[in-house]
Amino acid sequence: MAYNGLTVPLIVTNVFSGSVRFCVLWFIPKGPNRGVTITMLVTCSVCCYLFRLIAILAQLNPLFGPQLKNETIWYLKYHWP
Amino acid sequence: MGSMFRGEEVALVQFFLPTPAAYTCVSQLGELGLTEFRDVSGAGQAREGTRPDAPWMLNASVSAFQRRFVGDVRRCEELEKTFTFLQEEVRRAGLVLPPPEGRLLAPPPRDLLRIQEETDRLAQELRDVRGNQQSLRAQLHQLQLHSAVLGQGHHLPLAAAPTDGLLERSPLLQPPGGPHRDLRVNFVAGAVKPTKAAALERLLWRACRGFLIASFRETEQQLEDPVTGEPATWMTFLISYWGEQIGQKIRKITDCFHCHVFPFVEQEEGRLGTLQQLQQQSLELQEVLGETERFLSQVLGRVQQLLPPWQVQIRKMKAVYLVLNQCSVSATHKCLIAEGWCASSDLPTLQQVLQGSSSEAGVSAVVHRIPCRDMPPTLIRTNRFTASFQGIVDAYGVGRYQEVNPAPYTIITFPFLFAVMFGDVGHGLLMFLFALAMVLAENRPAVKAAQNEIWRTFFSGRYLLLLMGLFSVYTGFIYNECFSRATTIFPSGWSVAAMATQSGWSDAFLAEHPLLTLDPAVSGVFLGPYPFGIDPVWSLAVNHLSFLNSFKMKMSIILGVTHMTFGVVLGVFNHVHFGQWHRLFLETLPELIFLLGLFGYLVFLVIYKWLSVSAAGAAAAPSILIHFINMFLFSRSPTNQPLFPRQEVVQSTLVVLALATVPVLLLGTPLFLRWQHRRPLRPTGRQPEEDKSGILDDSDASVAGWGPDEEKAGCPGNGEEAEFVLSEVLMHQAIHTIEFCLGCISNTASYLRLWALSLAHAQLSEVLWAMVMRVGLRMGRELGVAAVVLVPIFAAFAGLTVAILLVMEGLSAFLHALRLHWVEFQNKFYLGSGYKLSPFTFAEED
Repeated sequence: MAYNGLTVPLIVTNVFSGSVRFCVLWFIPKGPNRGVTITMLVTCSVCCYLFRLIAILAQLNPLFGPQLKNETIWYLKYHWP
Repeated sequence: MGSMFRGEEVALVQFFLPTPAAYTCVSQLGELGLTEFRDVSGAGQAREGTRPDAPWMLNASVSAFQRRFVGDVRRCEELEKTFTFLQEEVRRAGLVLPPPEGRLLAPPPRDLLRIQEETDRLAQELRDVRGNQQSLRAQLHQLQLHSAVLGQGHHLPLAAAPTDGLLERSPLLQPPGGPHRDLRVNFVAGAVKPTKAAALERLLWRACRGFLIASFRETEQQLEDPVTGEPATWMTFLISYWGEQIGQKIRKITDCFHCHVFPFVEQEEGRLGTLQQLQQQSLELQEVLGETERFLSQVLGRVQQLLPPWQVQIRKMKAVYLVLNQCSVSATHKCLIAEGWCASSDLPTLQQVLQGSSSEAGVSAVVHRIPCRDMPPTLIRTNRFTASFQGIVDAYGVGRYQEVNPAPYTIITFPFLFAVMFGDVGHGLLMFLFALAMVLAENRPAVKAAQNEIWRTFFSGRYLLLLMGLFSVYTGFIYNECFSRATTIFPSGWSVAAMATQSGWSDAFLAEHPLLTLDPAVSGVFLGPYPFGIDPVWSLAVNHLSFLNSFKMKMSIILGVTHMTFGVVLGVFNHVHFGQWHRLFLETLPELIFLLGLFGYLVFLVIYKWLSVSAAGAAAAPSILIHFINMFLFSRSPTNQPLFPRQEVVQSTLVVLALATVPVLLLGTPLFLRWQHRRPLRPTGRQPEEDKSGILDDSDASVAGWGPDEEKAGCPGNGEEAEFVLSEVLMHQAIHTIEFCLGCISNTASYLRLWALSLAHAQLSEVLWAMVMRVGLRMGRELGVAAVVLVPIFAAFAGLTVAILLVMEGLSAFLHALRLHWVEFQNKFYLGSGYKLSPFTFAEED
């Protein structure tokens, strides 16, 4: 999945996961813990999403590249596509 | 949302308990465990006059020692003393008291006498039997000593046989069988402790040299000491002497040494006869002793059976009497009045229970709500999952009544922030499995009864550990670290082959240059961001810290600003609930503008730079740090390009706006309250505001006062004129402003510990891998060498991983995540100066 032009897949993934989460919220069983469960799910999804987003955004436009040892370069030249 | 959001509504209730049924009612309430009783007996109050807020109470000027039920409490305590004695006896006999079974109610007062009698009787019996046993044993010991002495005296030759050669004492001794036949030989036989035997011998020889023959022998068997019950050996001695004075000297000496002296008959037959007698006596005595011990064990068995339920019952009874002592007596002495706190939703249950328990008394007990003036306690109901998270929040401070509770958010944010500092798939998995094992085994009695304190600490936090491990696995995937190794789940976004072909990196070129850098500006080298986490190529790079540090620092700032903004927003709920709308505009809004204007803008800069500056413009990339510094100094650096057009204008506006909010924060609320206070007071409509301004006079002016909810509960203002001291309010507000503004800066920087600890963790695990495992994996290529060597190396790796990385780093990250929550998050909205509702209950505390 490493190719340029990530906008379309990013949007698609976000919309898809957002709707999945929204649907899940309707299926929480009613009970004394309903409020807490919903809070937990919302907080969890916000935290995890934000964390992943930060990781992707930080690598979107790298300003410098990795500095590798020559042995590594030799190996990776042929091993990685 | 349930009580976890805010805490339940707690009401002050008053009980009218008819005197004959008071005991049963309180006992039933204790079984329920829903009310916390307050002391209204007037003990400790002013001795004169009635209580000003409770005119229905009589002059209750009793001192602490004159409460009504003190005598009963004392009787219970005496009983408990006897119980302790019985328990001690049972323990001495090596038996164990079984735990009481079933649900035992506090017994009615008339049963107290019966229990007391039976207890006293059992105690007396036990004492008697013990005494008997002691004396019998002492007797047996004496008999045994005597027979030992006589039995061994068998082997001693009489002094009349000079040829036996056992006379080692004095060479001057002449056998009395010679010319001095008229001298009578007397004997002293006895037993002495072996430690004193040598001293005795020496003293005898010095004192009576030449006139006695002493022979010391150790007893063949060990005799049981009557006092301690331990087997001990004794030395028996036989002294033959002649002369009356010598005899007296010897007796004095033996008395001095506390020896047991027994009569010694010269003739052997006499001795044999005595010996037989002694043996018979000791046999009889042993039989009697056996009977006594059987009886003792019977008594102890009865005690074992009866004691545990009695202990529970008497303890409950004492608790009930202590509560009854806190009630006051009504004017007609017909009923007791008690006050207590309980949740409003529990009120119907209370009424029902009281109806049931007082039905036989004719007059039924009544409970109803009364207006309250003090701050009620906080009640938040938790189950075993949420209890540990609520415990974390309560350790900082129990929330004020009906204050927003940070616990439901802490359930997720705490493990999340922990995981940011701990992120590693392998370590997280280990932690998760450990916690899972504890959770699955939580109902086993062996696990519940464990007494080790460290284990109990871990066990009570098992759900916490479970979530922490789970989130650590997630952040481990994002950091792409599994025991410090990266994984290529998706193909990497950096192509070395493209760089090599484009830059002409032949093998010879590579041989000359040990380190080469991939350039993202070259086409085809950078293919796109890794879809889930950090690209694995970075773990192979020498400069991976440069990238990771930048990433983690910015991540910490973003997470920190988000967390703090969330905290400020939670404060909105507090202001709305307590009806303090002015604080919404005069405090929350300026706070948000300050926080978001300065640090929200920083986050914006970070994200904008990530999105807009690409590798092509890397050489001239603007530095966010310099921009941020210049923003505050209102200066500019010519070499630093702006990120977006008109950046300077935007920055200056934001700084001015933020600085403008400071005086609003400082002066807004005090001035508003002063204006409100000065308005002409109208009777009923203005009551709420008056209350608020009056209560603001309390120790902390920025505290939430009473809101419309309390109005409905019927809590009137006291009617006293509340004084509004402007200087006090100003001072409190100044402290709050300074704390917030300076705190914004320092707290944002404080979140950088997320970066610091995750860096430390990553480095530690990398070092462990490089120094331990890699050494083992690089061992020789011969078959078997590496395999054998890897076993101890892996053991060392595993041990160090658990000890250093899991336990030490885990504790460290736990502590820092806790600090972030307690200080940086909670000081934006949480006061934590309340107290918990601790109901009167008979349940055991664990």
